[in-house]
Amino acid sequence: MVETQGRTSYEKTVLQMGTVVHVNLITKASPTDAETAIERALGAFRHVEKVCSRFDDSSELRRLSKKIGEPVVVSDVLFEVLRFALTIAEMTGGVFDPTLGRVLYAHGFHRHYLTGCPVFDEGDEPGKVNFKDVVLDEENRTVLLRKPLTLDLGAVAKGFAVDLAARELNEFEGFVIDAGGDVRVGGLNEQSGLWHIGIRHPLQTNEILCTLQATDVAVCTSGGYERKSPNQPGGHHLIHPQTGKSPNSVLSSTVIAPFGMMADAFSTVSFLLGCEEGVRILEDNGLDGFLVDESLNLHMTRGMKEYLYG
Amino acid sequence: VTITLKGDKITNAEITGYTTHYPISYIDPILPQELLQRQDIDKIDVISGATLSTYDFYYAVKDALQQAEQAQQTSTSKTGK
Repeated sequence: MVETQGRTSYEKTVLQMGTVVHVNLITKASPTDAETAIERALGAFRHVEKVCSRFDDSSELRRLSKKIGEPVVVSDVLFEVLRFALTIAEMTGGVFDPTLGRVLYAHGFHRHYLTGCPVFDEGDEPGKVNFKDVVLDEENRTVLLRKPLTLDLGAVAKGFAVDLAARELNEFEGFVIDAGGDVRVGGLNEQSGLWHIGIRHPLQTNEILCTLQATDVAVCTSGGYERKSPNQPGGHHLIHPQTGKSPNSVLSSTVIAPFGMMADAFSTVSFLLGCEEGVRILEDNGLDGFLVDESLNLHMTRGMKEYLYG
Repeated sequence: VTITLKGDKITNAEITGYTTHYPISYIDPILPQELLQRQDIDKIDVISGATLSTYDFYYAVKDALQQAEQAQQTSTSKTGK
C-alpha cells in the first residue's frame, strides 16, 4: 500500500488459471471498498476457471465434454466464451479452433498446474474433429457436441476473466489486471499518467523489447517461449490445427484490443498466421499490434506507433 | 523475496519464499542478475508476455523495494525484506 496525492495503491497476487494473476488498484476510496473490489475481481478468475478449465474434471466444460450428441444447457459464461471462440474459428477458417484439446494433450499439455495431476482426454483422435462439431443454439442456450472432442478454451477464457474482473474495477481511478501477461489497464497510473506496459523480449525473456503507453485497453502477447511441449522437440503450446505443429517463424505476437478476450484470441490467431497475414487480420478487425519474426524484426499495424513509448 | 540495498542500488535479490510449482532453478539466477543491471523496474507498471512464472518474482521485488523504502524513512537500515 503506497499513498500518492490522496490515492492509495492496493495490490494482490494469486495463482489462478495456470498462472500468476495480479491486480493493482489506484484509488481514493476507502481501504474496505478497494479490498472488496479486488476480491470481486479475483473472484471472476476463480469463477471462469471453475467453468472453463480443461484440467479440472468437475469444471462445467469437462462435464459438457462427457455428453455427446445431445444439446446441453450451459451457463452464460460458458456459452459466451464458446460463442466467441467459434466466431473466431469461423472467421479464420479454423486456424483458431477450440476443439484442439486432444492435440494439446498429445503434445504433453495434460497436467493440472497446481496439483500436477494428469487429466483425461475424451478419447477423440487428434485432428479428427474441428470447431464445426460444436453447435450452439442461441435461443435455448445449449451446446451440442457432434462427436467426442476435448474442448480447450485456453486462448480465450483468461481474456474473458480479465474482462469480467475489469468490470469490478472500472469505477475506480486506475487499475491494472495482469493474468500472467494478459494485461488490461484502465484509468491512470500512480503518477496520474497513462500506464506503461512493457513487452517481454521473446528471446531474452528477462528483458523488455519495448514499452507501450496506453489506458482502457487490453494487451496480450502470445509467444512460444514459455510453454514448451514436454514431448515435441521445438514444440510449444501454440499449435496450428491444420498442421498439428507449432509454427516457429514468429517469436511473439502482441495485440492491443478494447477487450481482453479479443486481445487474447487475436494474439493467438496472428501468431499462428505468421507476420504478414497476422498484421492483416489485426488491421481488418480494427486492432493494433505487432509480430516479432525470427530475425527480431517488428511487423506493426499502421496504428501501432501511437502506442510506443520511449 | 529478500533484496539487499546499498544506497539506491540493489546489490542482491534472493528468492526466499517461492510458492509456485515452477522449479526455482528455472528462474533463480537469471532474474536477480538482470535486476542488478536494470535498476529501473519501477518505470514499467506491468509486463505483457507469454505466460511466465517470473511475475511472482517481479512483484515480490517491487514489494520488497517498497518495504525497504518505508524502512529507510524511519531508520538507516539498508536491507529490505
